[in-house]
Amino acid sequence: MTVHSFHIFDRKGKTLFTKRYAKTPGGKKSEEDLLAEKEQLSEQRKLVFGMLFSLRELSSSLSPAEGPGDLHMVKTGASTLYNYETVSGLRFVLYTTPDTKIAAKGGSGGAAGTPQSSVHGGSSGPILTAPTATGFANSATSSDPGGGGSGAGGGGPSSTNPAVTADVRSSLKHIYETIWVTSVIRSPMYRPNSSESIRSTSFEADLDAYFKRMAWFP
Amino acid sequence: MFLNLFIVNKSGGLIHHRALSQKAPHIGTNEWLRIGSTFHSLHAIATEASPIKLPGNKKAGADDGIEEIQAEGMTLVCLQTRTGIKFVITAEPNTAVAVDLGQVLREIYVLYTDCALKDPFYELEMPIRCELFTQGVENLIQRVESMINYSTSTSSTSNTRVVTLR
Repeated sequence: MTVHSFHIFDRKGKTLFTKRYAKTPGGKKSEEDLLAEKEQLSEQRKLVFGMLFSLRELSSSLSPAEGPGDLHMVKTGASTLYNYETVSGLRFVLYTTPDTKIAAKGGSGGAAGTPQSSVHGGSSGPILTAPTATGFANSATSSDPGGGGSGAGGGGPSSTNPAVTADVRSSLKHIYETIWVTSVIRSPMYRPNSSESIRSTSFEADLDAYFKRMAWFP
Repeated sequence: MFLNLFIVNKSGGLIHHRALSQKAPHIGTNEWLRIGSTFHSLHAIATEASPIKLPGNKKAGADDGIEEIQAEGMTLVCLQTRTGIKFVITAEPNTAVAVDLGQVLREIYVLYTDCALKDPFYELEMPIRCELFTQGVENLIQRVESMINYSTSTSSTSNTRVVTLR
């Protein structure tokens, strides 16, 4: 699982923070290319927010549970989106590659990432290290312990283990509770309607440091 | 418990919908048509919104798009065929862990080709009103439901995932 991009939207769909983590191919780019790319990314963010907004409507009408029908995870063939929404309407969105790739990688080489200490301090830290996730995937797809190859082909498991989703969502919650609130909300320079004031805080640095502690960071 | 099944044709029209258990929320016909077409467009938007893309936006010959949604109290799994028909099933989260819902959808696809497509009176892209198909789905769901109950009551957690349905 690799992190590709991370967005924070407010209640009305305005992007408060956005960052891409995957490296963009190619060397130097001209000014025009950069502008075009920026434009394209902003369009893409609008699509992400619009999709989440409509999907929430859809899931709340399809779900038997009472309430707003919170979205946890949306998986497509190319990527997996994890969503955490606060009561105040902030949305934390994380794009990663699908989990099935972990199963394929862990099964073939057994190259397990080193377990990292989490910031959570003992309380149900995000167990997103490669070995744990592989264990989930294997026990989910096949009964024999060595069946790592089953996830490699096109006909891998169609449904993802909800435990992984819960782990990633607890990470997003941590980002909100600890990093966002301490670095941004408590900053005296923060103005709710200006995106520049987030850049001036230590939020981005803290966020990067948190992601880098995760074993699944590229 | 399974909740709902719906089938959307390649142009976004709803061609079949049904509740699979008593627990399924009550949804009106107009609401169903809206859900069907909304899902169709969101399926396409999800591919565009993704920061990474598969080559040609295709996965195993079919258009890439939403494969699974986990939400509060519900898991949704979608199977898109190469011809563009989408089979969508929703279930409670614990059922989605116990059963491979994608496999259930593939079984339903087989039923669709056997019972609906081979029906001489069935017109493509039109709503499925075919008793054999309805009955087949009914039997399949009952079989899977009974297998879940069986496996959870007799075996440990490692065997609860039912992969083989035949």
